[in-house]
Amino acid sequence: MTLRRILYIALLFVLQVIANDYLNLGPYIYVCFLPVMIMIAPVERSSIQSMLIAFGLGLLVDLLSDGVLGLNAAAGVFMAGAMQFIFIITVNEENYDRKDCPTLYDVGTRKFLRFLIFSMLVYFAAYVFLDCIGTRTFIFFLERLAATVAVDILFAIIVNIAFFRRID
Amino acid sequence: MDKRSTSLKVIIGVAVFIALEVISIVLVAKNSVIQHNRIIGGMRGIQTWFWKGGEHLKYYFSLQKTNEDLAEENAQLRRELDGYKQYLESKDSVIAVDFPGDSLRDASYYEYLPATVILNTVNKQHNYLVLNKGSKDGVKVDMGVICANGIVGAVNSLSEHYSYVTSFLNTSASVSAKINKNNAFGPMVWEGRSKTKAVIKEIPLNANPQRGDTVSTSGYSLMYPANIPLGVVRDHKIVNGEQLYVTVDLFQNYNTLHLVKIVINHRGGELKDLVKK
Repeated sequence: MTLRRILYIALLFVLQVIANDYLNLGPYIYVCFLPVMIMIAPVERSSIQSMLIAFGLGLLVDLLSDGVLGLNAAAGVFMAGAMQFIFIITVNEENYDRKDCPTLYDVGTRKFLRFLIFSMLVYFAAYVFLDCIGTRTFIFFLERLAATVAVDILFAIIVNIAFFRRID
Repeated sequence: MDKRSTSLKVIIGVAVFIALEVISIVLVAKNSVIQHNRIIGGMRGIQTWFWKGGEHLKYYFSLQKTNEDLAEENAQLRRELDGYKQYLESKDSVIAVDFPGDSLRDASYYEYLPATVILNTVNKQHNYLVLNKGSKDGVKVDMGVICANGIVGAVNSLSEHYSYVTSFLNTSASVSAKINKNNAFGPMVWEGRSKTKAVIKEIPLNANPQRGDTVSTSGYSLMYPANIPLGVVRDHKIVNGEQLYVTVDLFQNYNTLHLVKIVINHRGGELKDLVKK
């Protein structure tokens, strides 16, 4: 299972590089698989390992895209650090005793969606804020955050259905 | 033991989180000019907030000393007022009054802008202060800063709301000072050792300063008016057989600076132009 998750992360990384080069949905939408990569990493939520993985993957994504170096890394670490808190407020811990992040098939659709929405909001709030700082209005920030979170949640659900149907 | 290791794990986790976020934000700031400006601006804002908080706290605990200083300054002003009154009453008579007439004339050229010290360093060789008044309040570079017990420094750079002042406790700062008794004057500098002592150089051998003689600003400067008391003579030594170095015990305690005045010299520009010509 651990190896499979690592392979999924590698695959998502390749998809991210392709999306950076060929998928342009305008200034409001940023397609990013990094939050999903952090979520499916086979490590404990909000652990040092998860933050280091988020930082490393974020830097790699930044290096391979034409964005500002450090943006995805900052947002990724922010999300990885907040993951345990998000888990506590969105998923009932008694129903899930594993230490990694839940998938769609672990905790049910409603709880998983809550967990996903909060995680995405945390990630993209940090990302869009750092990206728009000093150049865009607050309204643009909110519009871009809403559009990006909506699109990336859709991608995350597709990834979950595609990858985790037969796991566990 | 288990509880302790959990706490340790949480502390290390928080430290790693902060470290990685700082590295990421530094990378962002280094790789984009716009982000750099905003992030540095934000950091300065936070820094200023902390400075202000620290200074407020320091001010609160030194209120008694501030009150004493204000009372002393008030008494000094009353004495000066009495002097003026005495002078005006006797100006038609031939009775000599111990009153510095030049100061009266000079005083009209100067205006004082009260300011509060937000940040003050005293432990470096090049100390500085930050005041809560800036270009928006009419402050300009090279204006002098004084307080009740002497001079504080000179405005070095400005922002809209704050000014950066080079403290007199700076080995590159100098002020023209005189020994009141005989008007012997020279540049007074801080030698970088004691916060309570300074040295007046280039005093002629025949000045014969005595311990306890009052030292004040000479007025030979565009920054400070004449006769601001600076300190008292402690001792002196002959240097190179031709001049005296006079050690002065400063009146001002630079650790407790809070309320200061920025000196606006209305004729400073005119004098500067003349000197340039």
